[in-house]
Amino acid sequence: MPRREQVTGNMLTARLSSRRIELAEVRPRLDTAALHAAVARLVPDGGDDAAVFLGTLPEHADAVSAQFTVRRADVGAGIGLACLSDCGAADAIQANLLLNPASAPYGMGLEATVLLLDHAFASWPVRLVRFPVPAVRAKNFSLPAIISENTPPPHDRRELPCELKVFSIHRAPWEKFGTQLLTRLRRGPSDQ
Amino acid sequence: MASYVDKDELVTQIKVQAMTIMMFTASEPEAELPEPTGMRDLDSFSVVQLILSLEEIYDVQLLEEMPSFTGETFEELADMVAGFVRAKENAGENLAQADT
Repeated sequence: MPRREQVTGNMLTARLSSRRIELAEVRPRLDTAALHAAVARLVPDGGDDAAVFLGTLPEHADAVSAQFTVRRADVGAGIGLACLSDCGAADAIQANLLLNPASAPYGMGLEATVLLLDHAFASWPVRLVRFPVPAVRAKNFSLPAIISENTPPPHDRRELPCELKVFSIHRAPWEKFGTQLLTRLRRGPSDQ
Repeated sequence: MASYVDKDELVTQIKVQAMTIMMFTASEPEAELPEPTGMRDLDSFSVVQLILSLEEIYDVQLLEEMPSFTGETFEELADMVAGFVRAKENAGENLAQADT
């Protein structure tokens, strides 16, 4: 799915940082073996998070549209990986995020998710972004306008060791509510 | 003269904000919500919303400070917030004295 021109102005931007989190696009993209190796370095014990991240990505690396490393702005350390990929629907894109939970306290995972969603809407002319997560993480996505989907994503064809939850958010509520949250995550109180 | 924020008032404010956020994000709004008693009762979204709300109310920067927060109770969070409010008020007083 081709990217569109970057949207600027007061709503969507392709800026990839907030006060605490930075996303850096990986270019050239990692191939499947390198991505698996990066996941193993990030979460050596594997677990459900890694299984869902890898198990719900497209099987063909070409279907992955963009890869990112996730970094903490305060310590400059890498704490995660993220992918945006074709999910088989012309009007949707899939976001996958994997963080080392010990390195991402106090809502940093949510902050990285919000940045990834914003970049997806800013860069692709999609109607919605869907993102799969292990069911045990579901309570962390209680944002207004985020919908829990009943239909698993098309790439969910590999066996997973845990229950999967797929969320989606549509462009209109993202532009109305999500961008407001992101603005607050980017600007401190003295900048408001 | 300094007007340091009262800790009890801060704890109450934190509880009110936390409860409000939980009410808005409850998956079953009609169900009776348990009152949050500490940070562990809040999911990621609620923690972020709570911190952003406190930043707005007290006009202090907190989000970046959260990685160093090791407490689990609202009282410990109130201590941290009070410290930043106090530091900000002291800085304002020092600036005012330097101007006179």
